[in-house]
Amino acid sequence: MDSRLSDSGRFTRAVAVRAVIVAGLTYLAIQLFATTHFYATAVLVAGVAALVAVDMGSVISQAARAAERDLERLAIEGSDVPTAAAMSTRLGFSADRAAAVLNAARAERLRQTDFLLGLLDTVTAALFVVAPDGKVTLVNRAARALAATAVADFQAIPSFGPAVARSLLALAPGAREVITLADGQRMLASAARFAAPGHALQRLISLQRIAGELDAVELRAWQDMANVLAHEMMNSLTPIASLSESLEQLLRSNQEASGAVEVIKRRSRGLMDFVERYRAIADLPTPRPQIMAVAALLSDIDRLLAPTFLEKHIECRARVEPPDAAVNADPQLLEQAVINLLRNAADAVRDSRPARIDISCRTDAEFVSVEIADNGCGVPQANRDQVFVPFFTTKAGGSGIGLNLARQVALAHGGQLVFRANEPRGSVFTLTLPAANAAALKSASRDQRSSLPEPASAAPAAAPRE
Amino acid sequence: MSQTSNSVLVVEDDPDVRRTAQVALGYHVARVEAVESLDLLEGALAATVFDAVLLDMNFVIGERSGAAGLDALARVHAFDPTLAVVLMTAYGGVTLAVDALKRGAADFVLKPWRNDKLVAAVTAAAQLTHARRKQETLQLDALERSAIERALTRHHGNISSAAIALGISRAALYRRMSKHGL
Repeated sequence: MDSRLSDSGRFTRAVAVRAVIVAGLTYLAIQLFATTHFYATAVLVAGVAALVAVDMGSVISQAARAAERDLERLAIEGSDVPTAAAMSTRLGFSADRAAAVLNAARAERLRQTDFLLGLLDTVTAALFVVAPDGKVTLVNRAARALAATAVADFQAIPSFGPAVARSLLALAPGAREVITLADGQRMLASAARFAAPGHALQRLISLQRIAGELDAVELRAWQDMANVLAHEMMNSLTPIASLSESLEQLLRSNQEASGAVEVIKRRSRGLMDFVERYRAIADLPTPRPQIMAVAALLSDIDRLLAPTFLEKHIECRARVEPPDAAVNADPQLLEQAVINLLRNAADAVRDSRPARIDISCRTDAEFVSVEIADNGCGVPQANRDQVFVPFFTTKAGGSGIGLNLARQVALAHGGQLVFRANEPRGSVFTLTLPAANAAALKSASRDQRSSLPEPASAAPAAAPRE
Repeated sequence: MSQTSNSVLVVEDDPDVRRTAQVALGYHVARVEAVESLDLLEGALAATVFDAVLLDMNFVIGERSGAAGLDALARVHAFDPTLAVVLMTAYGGVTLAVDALKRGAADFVLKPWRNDKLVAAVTAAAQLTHARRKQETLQLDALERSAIERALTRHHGNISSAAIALGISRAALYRRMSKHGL
């Protein structure tokens, strides 16, 4: 501090001394000129004063140039205390205050950048900023999770696959498109283009996970519509179906009339069968989730289906990783969903030799994914969008409700069920459900054990009445 | 299925469905009456002793919860706790059926129905009504018998005192004692 003060004092002194000399010499020159006749001396004195003034100017301009350089350095390097000190030295005024202001502004800018980056990380959509050469320049957390690996080249992100990556890069700014990732998940993609100062034109690609939300909305809308339709249909069908049965009995003696009525009866029965199937999927009970172990669920189901698999020469293997993986789900609904998926797989591998079904389980912090992969006939490209459409079936005698029901179960739990083609052949269905941690599973099973003996107070003895 | 002596009340707002139910049940039930609105429910129940009620759950257009039907079910039971009720609806399935059965419905029929199933449900409901009524009579008999026994014990077998205590004549007490084999 002292040395800086003395440095700035030196500059001030240098300027002040010169100013005093210039002022003194100028006064002397004027006096000489006005009161004496030593004009030559006066001119000489004025000349010296001018020389000193020029020197003073150069001292000031030198300091100003140095300060200018310091300011530039300060602007480039930021919180550089020696620079600020040097400025103070050279300029002799409170440049350190200017530096403090600049530093505060810079720190604020850094804080804002951190804030914005943090904000981007909380956005659930995956955001990729891609340079014109296809290099990824910025990603948020969701994008990092989606890409799963360190991303440099957008086209090389494995979860997209080259075809999807190409179509994403080709998205027109402002356009939105639903894309299907390599693992079968559907996402809403949108693109924007922006130019930042000093950067080439960048492309922002955002991917929003839509399966859960969109499917649930779609499903609700579909159910509402179907319910309204169903009311009309079923109320109208009631008299037709019932009266044709009654009439058939009445008209037994009249062959022609009873034949005609028989047709009405048969067709209305057909409609009623359809209605029965519709009811199976239109009225999914509200799940009553409880914490359950995936391994236990799969072994229960395996016991149930093992005879079928044995009879059809299907090899079914299950691998649960970690072994204590647990989900928070309605046991009956989940069992039904998995059985439907396994039955579907068993149908698909009917003509495969060897016929294989692989069940695997993966967990992360929030979700447990159960994958059911088969090496069966697969689903033709044209039908892939219709896999979960209710009543859609490619099997003779298929009802088209099994997979839809399984998907409804997944959605009702806040999970999802997605389909993708297996390599080299067959299908993979991935059922994702909210995870429950192993500790919760242990305490849940302890609770169940401890609640087995009924507390005596729960069943009051029947009091004899007068 | 042979015709029974049962009488059934159908409560249904759709005239075609009402008529259909009457026709379908007509071969198997002695008497089928029908009312089109819940306002007529108690009047019909007061006029005839029915063996079963076939009750539609949805009386309000666009209303699908079946609340109207569940409310009517409670009204039937308030009127006659022994009368078994079969609910019917075009909606729902397991959830509504479970709810209806929990609230005391004897059975649950989905529209459109198959005639044999409808008849079976209504016949079973009528049998349930009969069983409940018989049970009620038995309970009444049992109460009567124990009251008489207690009165006789209290009055050390003195018929006249027991009859006075029970508030009936001596002759009436003798009749009831012989009925209960006392």
